[in-house]
Amino acid sequence: MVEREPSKTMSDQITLLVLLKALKDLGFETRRLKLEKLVYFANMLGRLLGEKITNQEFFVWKYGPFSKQLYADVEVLVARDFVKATELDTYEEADEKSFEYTITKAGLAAAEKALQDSEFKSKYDVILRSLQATGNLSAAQIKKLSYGELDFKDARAKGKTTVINPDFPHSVRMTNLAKEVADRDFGMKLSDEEASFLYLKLVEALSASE
Amino acid sequence: MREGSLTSNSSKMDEEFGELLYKRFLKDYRWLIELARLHSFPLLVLDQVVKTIEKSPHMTSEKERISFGLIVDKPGLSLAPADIKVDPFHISKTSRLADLKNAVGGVHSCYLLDKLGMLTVVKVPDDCKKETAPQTVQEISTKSQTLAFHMDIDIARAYSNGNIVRTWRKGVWLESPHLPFDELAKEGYPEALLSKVVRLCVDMSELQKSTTLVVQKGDSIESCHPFREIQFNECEFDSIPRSQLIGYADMDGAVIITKKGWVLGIAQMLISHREIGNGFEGARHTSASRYSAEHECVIFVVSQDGPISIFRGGTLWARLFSELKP
Repeated sequence: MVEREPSKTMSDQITLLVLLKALKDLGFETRRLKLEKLVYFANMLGRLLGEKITNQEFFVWKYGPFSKQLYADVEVLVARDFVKATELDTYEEADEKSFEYTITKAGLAAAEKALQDSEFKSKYDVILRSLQATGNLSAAQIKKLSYGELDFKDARAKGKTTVINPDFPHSVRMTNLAKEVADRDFGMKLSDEEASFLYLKLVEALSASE
Repeated sequence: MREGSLTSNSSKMDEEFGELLYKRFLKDYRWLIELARLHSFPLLVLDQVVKTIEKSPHMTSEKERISFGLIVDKPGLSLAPADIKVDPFHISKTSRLADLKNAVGGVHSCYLLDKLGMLTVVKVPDDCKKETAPQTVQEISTKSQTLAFHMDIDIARAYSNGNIVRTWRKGVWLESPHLPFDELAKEGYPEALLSKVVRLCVDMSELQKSTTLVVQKGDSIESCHPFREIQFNECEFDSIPRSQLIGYADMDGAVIITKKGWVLGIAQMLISHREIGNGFEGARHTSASRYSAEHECVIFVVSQDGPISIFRGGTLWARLFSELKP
């Protein structure tokens, strides 16, 4: 595992807080497994829209993309009372006790403060867009969706624990392909956001066959 | 080489497969992309509206289908809060929509959708209120130049600046009919009349009723025989209320309309003498094909399952909603 610089770790923890605020703003809930995938998809969309979201390393695990560093970041936020972890009676598929994460008042205040910084405001905007496609999904649904994501698929073909390329080369390639097809066959010039939308449709279609 | 391009066979496969899927997606979602552009609204949020409408038949039981009106917010649009008040909720929360049942039906109140995908309930302005909810939502869309949706039982419509841009039926987002009537106009068929006849056909199709409408050049009924012992006093097409027109069109046989806009007869059996045009799907279509081969007319045939076929000169001139054919 590649260690993050302390400044990047701090930035990732703040970004995570911003994501939890965005989830609250939209009225969505999350548990541990879903949170991993929400961040993964936000990173993917961020890459396609030219906005680096987080620096956590994700690798292939039994239930889709997984990051131990993200896990650690959540623990830090919980320890600082920015996030409340509620242990639930139900279990997630990973056979671990399930925790629901909600942002606390202190966490919201910290997130609001972070959003005054243009860096986190830009990330927040991308996260909000990503959550339109992923926020309402259950853990099982988002896990399934992640199976259709091409950079995860590529890493999975190389075996469990393979690190997923944070530059999302396959997603970038296929998003560019969407632009090419639209221009060549439909005379449409797609924006990055429109091409990303079509790539998400592709991921949905591929995940359906998983 | 494209950024991130790989040269492996699997990547080439991905691209070939991806191209095919993208072509399908562009065909299916081009209208949504264009609406997002036109109304400067996030595409991913509009996609959630579409997904919610597509899910709506499964939100409630068969007997408790819900309907709602939805206006897409835009800068400067000001709608007062409705009597009913709920905390804003995301469009994807279908359980919340189902909880409100038909309380936000579109005549008195509507949902207002913001750029984050959050819904609030607003009052319909008095000057937009019409007899039915779809008409009311269309009026709001016209007056405020907005994007709006109306979800009804088994049917939904998307309105952009007052125009119906898509209708969702039987799991398909149907494009509004755009027919090249200029060719027929040159032959003396008024475009306005043809458009009204198409509108009646669309109504019949949406009501899942079959019909045959003949628009002819002649001023008298020729080669027809009434199906029932029904007499009909000629009258102007425009003078007949829509519900009454639907009633006439619903009867067995054809409605005969002149290009001057007069309804000459209803429930007419079309009589032809030549045995051509047997390749069509049913008696109505075969009859329309044969009759149009022998008379100067345009015949509109609506199938009960939805498609609209237009015949002239003995051949199928155009077909609408063919996606609805089971």
